[in-house]
Amino acid sequence: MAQSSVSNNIRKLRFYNGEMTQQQLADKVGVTRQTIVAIEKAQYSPSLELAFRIARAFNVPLEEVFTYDPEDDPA
Amino acid sequence: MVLDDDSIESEGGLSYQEKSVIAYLITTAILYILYSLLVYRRYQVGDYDPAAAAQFLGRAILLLIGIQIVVQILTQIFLAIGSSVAARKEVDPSFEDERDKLISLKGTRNTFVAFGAGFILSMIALAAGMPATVTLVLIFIAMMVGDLTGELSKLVYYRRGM
Repeated sequence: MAQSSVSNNIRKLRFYNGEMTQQQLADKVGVTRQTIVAIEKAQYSPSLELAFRIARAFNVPLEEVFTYDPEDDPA
Repeated sequence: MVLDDDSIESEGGLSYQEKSVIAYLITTAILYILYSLLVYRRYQVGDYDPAAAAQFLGRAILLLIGIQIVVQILTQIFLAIGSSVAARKEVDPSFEDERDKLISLKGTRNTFVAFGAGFILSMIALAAGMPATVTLVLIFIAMMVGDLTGELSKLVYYRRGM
């Protein structure tokens, strides 16, 4: 499975935000539920704009949502 | 930490986009095989003007493109109907988001790479002195392989990530 070097806390943040569903988060940020699934599984790195929209949906800074691990970077 | 999504996730299976790609792959592969056999059979029994062999192949390719467009439209319609009829928790997406567009772009890139390789092969055949009809057949095959390669890679990207 292709793993992104960017990990995230989206699932935890959804839980702490009134157990928000993936569909609800997807509707808030303007993507499909499948994209949220892929992001949570670290199979897809969102664009910068989408990353900011997700952080705004949870009302937290970007760094609290996403973490970049250089050791996982294949480059 | 149990979330409501878990029940949807546990339904497993394929997303609408994945089903759409698989449907395209299956119908396209069947169409290519059947059509190729039909054209080859006509070619073998001599149901064409030998002096216009290239024209025969050109028409066959154009007809295939038209048939493929119709088949794919019908496939997507039936898929959408089947999806709406099936009682499921999840609503199928009605738009393409950034991930869908990126996967589509990468699939198109892979299509062009595969077709390009086949095209070069056909030019090598032409340069080696093979008849023009062989070149056309190779281009035809390259078109099919390119198409299937692009769709297959889209399926891989959807299933395994990018």
